[in-house]
Amino acid sequence: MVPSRFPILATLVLALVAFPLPGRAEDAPSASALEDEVQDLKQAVVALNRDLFILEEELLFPSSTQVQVFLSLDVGTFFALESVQLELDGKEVANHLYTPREVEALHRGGVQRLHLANLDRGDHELVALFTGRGPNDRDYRRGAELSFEKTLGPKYVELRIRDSEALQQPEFDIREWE
Amino acid sequence: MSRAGAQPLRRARLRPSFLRVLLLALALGSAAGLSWTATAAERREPTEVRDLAYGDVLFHYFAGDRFGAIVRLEVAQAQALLEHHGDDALLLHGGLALDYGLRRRAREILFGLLDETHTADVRRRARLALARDAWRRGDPAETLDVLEPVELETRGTLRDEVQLLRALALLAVDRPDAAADTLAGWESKDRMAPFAHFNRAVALVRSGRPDEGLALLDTVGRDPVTPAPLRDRANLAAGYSLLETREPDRAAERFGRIRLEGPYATQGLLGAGWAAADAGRLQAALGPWTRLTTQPAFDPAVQEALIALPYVYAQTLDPLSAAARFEASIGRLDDERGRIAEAEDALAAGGLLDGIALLVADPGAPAEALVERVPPSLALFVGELVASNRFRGHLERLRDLEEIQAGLEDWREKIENFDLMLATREARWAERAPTVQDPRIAEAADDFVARRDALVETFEARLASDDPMALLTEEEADAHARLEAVRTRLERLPADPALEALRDKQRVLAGVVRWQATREHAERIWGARKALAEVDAQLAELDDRRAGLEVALVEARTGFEGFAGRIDEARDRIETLLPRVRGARATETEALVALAREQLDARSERLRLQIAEARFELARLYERAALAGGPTP
Repeated sequence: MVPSRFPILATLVLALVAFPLPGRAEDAPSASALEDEVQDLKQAVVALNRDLFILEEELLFPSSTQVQVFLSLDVGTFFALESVQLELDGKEVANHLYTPREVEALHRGGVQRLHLANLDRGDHELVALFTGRGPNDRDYRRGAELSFEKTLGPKYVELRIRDSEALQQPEFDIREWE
Repeated sequence: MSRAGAQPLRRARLRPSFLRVLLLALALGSAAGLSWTATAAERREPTEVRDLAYGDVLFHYFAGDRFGAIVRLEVAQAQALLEHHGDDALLLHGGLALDYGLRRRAREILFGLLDETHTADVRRRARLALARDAWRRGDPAETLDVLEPVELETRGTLRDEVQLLRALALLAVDRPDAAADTLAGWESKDRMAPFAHFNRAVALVRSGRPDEGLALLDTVGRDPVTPAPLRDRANLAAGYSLLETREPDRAAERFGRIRLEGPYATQGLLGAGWAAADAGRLQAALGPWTRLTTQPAFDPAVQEALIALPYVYAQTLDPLSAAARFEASIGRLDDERGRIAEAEDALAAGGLLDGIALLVADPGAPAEALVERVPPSLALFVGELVASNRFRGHLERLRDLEEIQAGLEDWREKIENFDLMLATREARWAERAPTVQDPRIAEAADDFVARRDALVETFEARLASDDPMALLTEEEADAHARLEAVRTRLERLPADPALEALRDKQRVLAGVVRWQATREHAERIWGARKALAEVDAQLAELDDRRAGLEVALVEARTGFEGFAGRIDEARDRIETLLPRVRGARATETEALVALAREQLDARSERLRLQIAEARFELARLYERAALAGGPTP
């Protein structure tokens, strides 16, 4: 039994180590031709998507008429975001329901581009309606609005949800970026 | 049963290799639970965003959209929208590229951040990202190389991660003494601490300091703060180390700590049996091994026990029943091989493909869900398959390729809309261009110029006469003309005192007109000149606009051609990439199936060897019985 037991024990050991090795891949695939091919493909697709995004923006949203609306969340202790509705000049243009992962992404510093549109030069009005859970886990619905002038260049607008420590309430505002 | 009775097991020949492989495996595996994929983007604390585009990239990354994040980052870079994030954006780019499997691109970016033009913090973070990647690829030498210049001055998670990664790499290149030294100064008590202590213990054992190592393993194996699987692992490692140093009683105590519901239960039971056998308590070995043999023969520890148990009976306890036990074990191992053969048939019939397709189509599903999505004959073996890094690598690439293919197919449709949009714009241009180019517009413009020239000529002529009456207003000119007509008529009438009053009145009114013209003469000259200058400015603007329109017309044509060219080029790229993506998906799927086949073959081969070994032992039993002339087992 003894001499021939070794392969079986070695097998056992290999089975033992198979369980928890997410860190280092002792059996990870080497830089195989397949991996290289997939890497080449991914790189080519990323470059193509980059070019297509730019092309799409230039074609459909030229800078002279472009308006981008972003949303950010600072802290968010007093407000659990569930949805945002956006109106531009009285017309609903965006309505986003947030997944827990998206809310987490906002908490971690992500800024969501909520809307991309074309607007003529001149005065416009933006209204954002935020829905979620407020202090004491109550239904909470608040709005914020901004009148702004669209000039020749692209316009960037940020919807912000912040905590007011003084008021123990969430605050909602909209600001323009230069 | 005696001490001598245990000796024929002669496990001494087994232990060194066993222990070495085991300890190495334990050391390498000790990173379980740590995130070695952490990148600059993965830090948990909120990131200060100074460019909206940077925040947009983070949003996509944190929301799990790796592809969207890297594409948006490259778009933002191309549009120069990340000016406030500089090296942070490059670090993020490198991290995202690594995370998305673009290693060459990632290395190019991250190595570019190592020179002195970047801050020490940026260099350190770039080195850490490169080291993580090297480690994940199984290259401990490069891991050490890139970490080598990193100082441990910083505190906190970064320091811990560098220290642990360096120690793991040192263990992997068989420098356990250096690994133990590296971890000797471990300070923090966070979630990494138990892993660090465990690794240090392994390093100490491997560097010839088993007492220190075992003491540390004892601490890790008892500490309630240590995650339970790691406690089991520490006890398992200690148990086998103590078997190696011929301390079976202490080994048994360590094996006894391993939870029976944990992932190391069967290995622990096997070790407990060996410990009892080493201590000469063969009867005691039967307990854990018998318990093992009641479990499915899928587990290699169970397979091992199926052979060890009758072997013990054959050696000392009950040689007469040993043959029957061997026969029973062979039967179970045969059955197991039969199950593998059935699984191989199911695999050959494509039994894995639907499950893989479902798993690929549902990116949120854990790899383990495959077990529920394959035929029952395959299900038992799929657990082992999905636990391997190779499987996870294939699955991740397949999911990426699925997403890529769907994305390319979307673009293929959208790009038709680009065509439509461009065609609409072009049609609008074609509709308006003739209006702009209408010769009547040019004629009208020329007419304006001619009229202006005539005006100037008239004005200059009147100015030359030096007569204020040459610059009468329209009203004055009308009044003046009518007064002249009155004067003419009065002159034709005979002298009559009654008409003198009218003549006087005509002279007075004519004088008023002249007086007014004289009084306002300078102002009128200035006003006329100003009006002419305004006409000139308007005519100049008209000229500019006409010229601008001419340029716009040419540029619009060029712009349309430019867009059309870019659309055509993108369309060609999509059509070139799609078949490559489909091909790569097929190849990845084939590789995954081949991996499953490889694992099944290896299992089957191991079982074949075990069965052959059992049959050999059985034959020896019969032979011994025949030679002894006793009853046949």
